[in-house]
Amino acid sequence: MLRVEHIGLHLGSFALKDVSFEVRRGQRFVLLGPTGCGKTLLAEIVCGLRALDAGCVRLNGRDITRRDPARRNIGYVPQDYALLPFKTVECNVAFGLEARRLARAEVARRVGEMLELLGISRLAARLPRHLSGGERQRVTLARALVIRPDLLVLDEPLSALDEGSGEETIALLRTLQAELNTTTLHICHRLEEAFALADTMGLMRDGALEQVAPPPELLSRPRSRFVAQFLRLSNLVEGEVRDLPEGRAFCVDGAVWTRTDRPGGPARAVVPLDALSLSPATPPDEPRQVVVADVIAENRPCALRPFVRLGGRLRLTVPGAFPAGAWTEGRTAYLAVPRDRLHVVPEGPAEPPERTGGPGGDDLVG
Amino acid sequence: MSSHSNRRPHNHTADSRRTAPAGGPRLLRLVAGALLVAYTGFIAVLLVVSLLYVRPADFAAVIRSADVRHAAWLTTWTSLLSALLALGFALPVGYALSRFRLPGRAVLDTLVDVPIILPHLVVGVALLIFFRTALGRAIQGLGLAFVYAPEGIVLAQFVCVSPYAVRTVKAALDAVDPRIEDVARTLGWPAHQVFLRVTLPMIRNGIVAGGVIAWALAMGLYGPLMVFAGTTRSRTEVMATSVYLELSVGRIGPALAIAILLVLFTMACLLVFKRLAGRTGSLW
Repeated sequence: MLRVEHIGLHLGSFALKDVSFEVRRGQRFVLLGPTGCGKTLLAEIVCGLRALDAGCVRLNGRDITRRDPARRNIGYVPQDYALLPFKTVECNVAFGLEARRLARAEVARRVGEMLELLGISRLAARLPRHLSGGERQRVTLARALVIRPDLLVLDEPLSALDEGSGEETIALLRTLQAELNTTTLHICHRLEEAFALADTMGLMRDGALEQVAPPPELLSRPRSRFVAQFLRLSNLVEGEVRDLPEGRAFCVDGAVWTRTDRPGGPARAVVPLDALSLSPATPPDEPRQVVVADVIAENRPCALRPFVRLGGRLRLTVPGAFPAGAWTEGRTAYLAVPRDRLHVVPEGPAEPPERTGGPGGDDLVG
Repeated sequence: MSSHSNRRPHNHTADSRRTAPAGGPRLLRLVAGALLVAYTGFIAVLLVVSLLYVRPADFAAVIRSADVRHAAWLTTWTSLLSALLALGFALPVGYALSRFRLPGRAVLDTLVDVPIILPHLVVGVALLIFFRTALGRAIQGLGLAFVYAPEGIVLAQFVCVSPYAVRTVKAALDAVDPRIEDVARTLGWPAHQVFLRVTLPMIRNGIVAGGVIAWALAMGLYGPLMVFAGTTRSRTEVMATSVYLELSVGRIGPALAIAILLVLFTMACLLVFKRLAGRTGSLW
């Protein structure tokens, strides 16, 4: 299990600020964020390739902050693979085992097993320059996994691959996780990759963690506008939080939608997609009258996604499959949104990050 | 531009080749090719003309001469030793310049280049002056005379050629992806092992190139050697010095003969080292 506590680092004009998170044994933690937010720096700190100014790193209970990278037993898979160009695939994969003074027969056995697991046995005698990007990726994974690391650190594993190879790699990473149950810190900037693989996600911006939570939590309860925007949540209603006699409430166009304790001012509410229902006739439950604005056909036959416009300030994509012809542009419809499912996100920057949820978390809950 | 291409719409088919401007790739190839032939041809001509000018009698006399044989032996072992010493220093110095964040790095960098910028003769003079100082005399007291002695040849050669070795090794180190060394460390190898097992193999070509450049340059030095080590026949006279001395008394034939011998010997060794350097066609 990896525990990162209050990491701080100053590098010129950039700084990592008080970064803390935890990766439980066997879990995959995806560190997500735009380029330049400090994710790779963090990975380097965890691997021991960069000194930190403050904080500590614990692996399986032991403080490894000052420990030499050679003694951390961390499998590091860098973004550009960094294979030894003068050694064959086999020798590259064996390189970490040789440092552990294992018997040659044992090394050969483990290397053979790992090459088999990753489907690259036939490449054993090749040099890295004769491999494709996807093949190099697998060799680098093999090299990192064969040492049976306590933690696997993947830095943007899909960034150098084309889409097809990327999908293959996602499937491969899932299989490996299931087989080997390796604790993994996975760094990336792409949403699809993150959502496909994460048990827990940490969203980073400008050197600080904005929110740490499992993906469904992040999607339904983003802590700040940045999180909502980065996750490309399109189901956001613009409104404002007002102080009313009966308490603070989130209002849209003057109408109260839900009670909230968020600070006053402009805000948005996340409308959970699974709770939306669109109907032509008046549904029983607090409906908002909407006008179907755009009807977009998806790739699936007979599926339509109406965009609905609410008072000019809302565009929602209503998921689901609708028979063709059910909705046409300009048609009036009714959108039912259950109040208790709305999550209000303030416009301003997030308050200090909390860990919301996660399996058996003993930290603060928002 | 021809009026044709103004009237017709630009069409990326066979048409465009006919109406392409004359200053295209073909001209570039011709010019570059011609310059290559002229350049290498000029060097070849210099070699051939020199070869033809030498009289067989002079050449025979030179080969038979004991003094020339001694000069050849002196040239060989001193330049080899100074090249090895230059390499020995080039590795740690190149490593420090390439990898460490040193204060005053620009100054250190410039100091390394000084022997290249200084006329070699001045290097010889500077060494002479140094050994007149108290520190210089103290060093001489330890057993090696240096001034007007064979070890002085090695020292003068070393000072003049080591910057080239340092630069070559440093360039090779700069080209090594630090990420590869990082990963090697995370895989369990301590830093010095990473240097031996990862870095060194990757800069092998650079090391060989640095050594060869240093050695080839050392073979041809004579200015600083004459000033610092003297020109005592059969003691501190290297082949390059012999060439100069023969020329200075007007014996062009013998001078050329020794020079040709030196050139042939150097070229033969260069070819051998090229083989050793491996797959790359050139040394640098």
